[in-house]
Amino acid sequence: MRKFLVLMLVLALCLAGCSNKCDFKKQQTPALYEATFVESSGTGEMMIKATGIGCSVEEALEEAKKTAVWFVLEGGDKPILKTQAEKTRAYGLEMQMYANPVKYIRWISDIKSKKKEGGKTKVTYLFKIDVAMIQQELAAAEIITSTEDLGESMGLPTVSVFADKGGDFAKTAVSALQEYLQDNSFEVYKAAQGDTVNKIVAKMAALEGAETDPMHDMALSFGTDIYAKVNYSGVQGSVGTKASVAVEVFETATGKMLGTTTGYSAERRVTDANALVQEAINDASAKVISQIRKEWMEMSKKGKPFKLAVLSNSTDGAAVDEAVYSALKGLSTRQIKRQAGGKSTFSYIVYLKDIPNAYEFFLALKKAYSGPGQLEKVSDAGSFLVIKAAGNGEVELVIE
Amino acid sequence: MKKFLLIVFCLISVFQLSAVEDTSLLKSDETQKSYERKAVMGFGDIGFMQDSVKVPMRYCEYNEKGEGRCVPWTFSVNYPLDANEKLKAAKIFYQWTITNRFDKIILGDNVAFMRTKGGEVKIDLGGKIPTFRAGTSDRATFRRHLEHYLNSDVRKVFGNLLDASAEQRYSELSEKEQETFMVTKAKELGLSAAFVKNLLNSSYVFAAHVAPIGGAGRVIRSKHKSAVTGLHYYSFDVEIELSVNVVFMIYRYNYETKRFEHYGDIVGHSGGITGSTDTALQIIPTPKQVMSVFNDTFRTAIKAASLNANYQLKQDDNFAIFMPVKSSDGKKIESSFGVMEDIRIDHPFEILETVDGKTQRKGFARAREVSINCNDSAAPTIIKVTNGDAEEGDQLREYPWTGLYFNLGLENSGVQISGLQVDGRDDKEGDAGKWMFGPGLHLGTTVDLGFVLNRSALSEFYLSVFLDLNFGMKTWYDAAEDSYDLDTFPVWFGGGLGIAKRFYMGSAGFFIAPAIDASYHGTLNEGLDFQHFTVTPQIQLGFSTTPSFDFIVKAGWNLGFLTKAESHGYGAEKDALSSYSPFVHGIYTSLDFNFHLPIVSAMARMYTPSSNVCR
Repeated sequence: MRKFLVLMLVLALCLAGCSNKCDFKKQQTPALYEATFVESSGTGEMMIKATGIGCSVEEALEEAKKTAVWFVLEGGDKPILKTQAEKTRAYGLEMQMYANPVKYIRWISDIKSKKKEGGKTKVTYLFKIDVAMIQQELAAAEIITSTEDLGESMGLPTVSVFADKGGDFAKTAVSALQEYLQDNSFEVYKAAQGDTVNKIVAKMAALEGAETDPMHDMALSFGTDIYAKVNYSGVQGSVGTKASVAVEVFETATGKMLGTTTGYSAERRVTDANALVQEAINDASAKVISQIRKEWMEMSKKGKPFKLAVLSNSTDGAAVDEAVYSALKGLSTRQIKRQAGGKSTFSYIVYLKDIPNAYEFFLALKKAYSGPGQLEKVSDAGSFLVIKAAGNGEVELVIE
Repeated sequence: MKKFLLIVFCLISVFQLSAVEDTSLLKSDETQKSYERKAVMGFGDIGFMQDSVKVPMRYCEYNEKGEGRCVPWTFSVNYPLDANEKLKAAKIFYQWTITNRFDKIILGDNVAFMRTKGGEVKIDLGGKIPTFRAGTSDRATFRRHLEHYLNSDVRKVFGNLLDASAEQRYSELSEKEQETFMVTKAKELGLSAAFVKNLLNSSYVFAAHVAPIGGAGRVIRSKHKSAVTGLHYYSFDVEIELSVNVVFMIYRYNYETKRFEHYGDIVGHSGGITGSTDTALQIIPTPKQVMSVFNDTFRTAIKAASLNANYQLKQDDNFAIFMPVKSSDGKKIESSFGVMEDIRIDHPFEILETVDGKTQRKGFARAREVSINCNDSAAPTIIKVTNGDAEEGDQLREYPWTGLYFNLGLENSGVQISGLQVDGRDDKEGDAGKWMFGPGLHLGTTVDLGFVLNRSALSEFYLSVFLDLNFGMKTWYDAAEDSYDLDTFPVWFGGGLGIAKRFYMGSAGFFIAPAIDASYHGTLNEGLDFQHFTVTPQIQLGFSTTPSFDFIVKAGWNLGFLTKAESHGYGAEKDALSSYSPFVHGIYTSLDFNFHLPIVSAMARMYTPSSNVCR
């Protein structure tokens, strides 16, 4: 009898072993990290192609959802969590997101691939992820800085967007990018037909000597903190047309390039290439906004750049220059960059913490100024301040 | 000529467009591929190796016993294969081989037939497109001629167009502009834009060549005796046998080499087709009546060859229906493919999945309700799993099938024929089948009526036609010993029809089928002539391993009546019918094996186009 029982036990164990061919232990984190960015399908949405693994299609789909959320958080070249510190702080919330990824998924495609590997099922789907919601939750938990927080600390940057090359299609791309920026709470300056570079900017550009970018000059004239240049190009493939839109982002005050991104559409046969432009700018926009946010956050920590133009006259010029420079040194912990200097006109780049705009910069500078005469504001726009100061006589705007 | 150049250019430029796959991230991979409607082009002028079909006729006279002789008849069938006849044959070829799942253009002599999802239109080409002249030649010569037409004339023209940079200009146009370009060029050519567009999308070119058609015919005069008047009279019948083999040569444009390249050949076999008059004639048939039988047989042979070619075409992944399983409870799958993709009732599918990089079969399923997708708002096709299971992401591939089986069975078909009681006791000397023992075998064909007629009401109804051969035992009563002794072994031969309705039990491949057969049998023994008619209600239990093979265990009961009982004992013929009970019965059991038949032969007459429901 005992032998019979042992035999039955062995048989039962064998059967249990045979029936449990698929051995998959579910974890909080994704089981696979296979995912690809497909496109930005809206201002706060991304389409991700993600793969999951499990013992059944249902199980693998659940894993794929986690993989898609992981990709938005940490994967790809523009993750929301950019630093190790952010990732560490986000750990708990991240686990909560993996526990309920459906909350962030707006759409799931039909199955795109299904394979069995080593007894397990691997499936691939396309997901539309609500990136804005993830960002909001991370910001609410003070893991990342929200756009609103940025606005509170130093004001949101004003941005101007210009079409560079690509004709009407580039203009379509500009409009689309402007919409994206506005949806992300940025203040966007829309250039109107007939807008020209103002006289002071033109003179300053001439004074600085180097060949300047007309779009930079225009951005300075508008007083925007940041400006973007959009180039469109269409490529004829074997199936149809493929659009690419390249966006270059610059800091207006310094003219420094903050980043460059290219968005692509799929190759399609379409009746109107503007649809492809929209698709390509969808692809690029999320990256552009991510770049602007990142740079602006850096600025809030290290200081916002301002361009200062000082107008004086040949009599007091040297003394005014010296006094302004001293005052600036008192306001900024970083090095002052002197861009151009003549006998009566000077320009500087200065990085200032906790000063959100050119007017407040003027007030601070006026307070710290101890040179000839009094400082008077000529114009302030965004991060560009023009002042005049002279002890005697009128200021001169002379190109020497 | 300039107009022709343009249309050829359009044709070839889209060969290129349609050959490239969009590999964007939005697309599914190979494990989820789905059939996309293709367009093909065919030539109405079929290649034959003869100018006409000649069938020698014989005249046969048979007496009441079926004995007779045949002599050559004065009339021979001579069927000229002129352009109109070829075009008619081509339409049958293209209807049954290249079914509705393709948009088709058949180019004829100055006329084209374009069949799309929307219906068929006839287009007068008005001499704008040079006609392909198939001529009368052997297969090799026909192939050379075809390749020359495609790669010499057409390619030469295409090269000139390249020089003119037309291709570049065309490819730079947006889709809307291409449409406008197409409409403009179609107007210039005097052709419809839809026709030009279909030409643009044609990715394969089909040409048909028919091997020599062999056949034989008979006019049969049979002698009968009237049961009413007792007088003799004659009836006439016409029988024609034909066999058609057609080679479909398939070409595809290679956009890299800029040549039409041979893709493959398919050889469609009709099998032997026999045609006859529907009812016996009272007078000797006229040539017109003979030709009517020939025409019917010829069309059936072409249809049978085309159905066989279609079966072979479906073995090629490029022409078969594939679809991913969108959602499934493991047993039921829905699909948007329907009659316009030539999906039929009981259409079988393989369930496939990719395991460690290899495609493996995990079961079978069959279409139970087919979508009437003549328009877009149709209910989906319902496919039910018969073997194995299906889950989301698996793939269905259509299983090439004709719905026809060759059937072989080992059986016991016993029939007890009992002597009548005389004076209240059995007349035991008349007992002719005491033991109900009748081992034997039967063969026949079985056809799925649901599939062949594409009727959902007939789903899984199998009609059988069979021939039987059984060995029985006849006993005689030894009055002296008051016991039965073995007398002779009657050899029963007969045939009949049967119908069975299968119900699948779960998804393990097993089915149960109530069925009934009706048959007529007679003895083949010298000096013994018994005949009976029986019906056999039965229950069948079967297992379908694949749609190509199943085996069935049958059990039933033969019930019928005796129609003839004659014995020839002692040199005298004795009519013993009155000595027996008119009722016969016996046990019936059988083990049957069904083998799929890709050649449908005369059964081709039964097949109906799936898209007929759209008309």
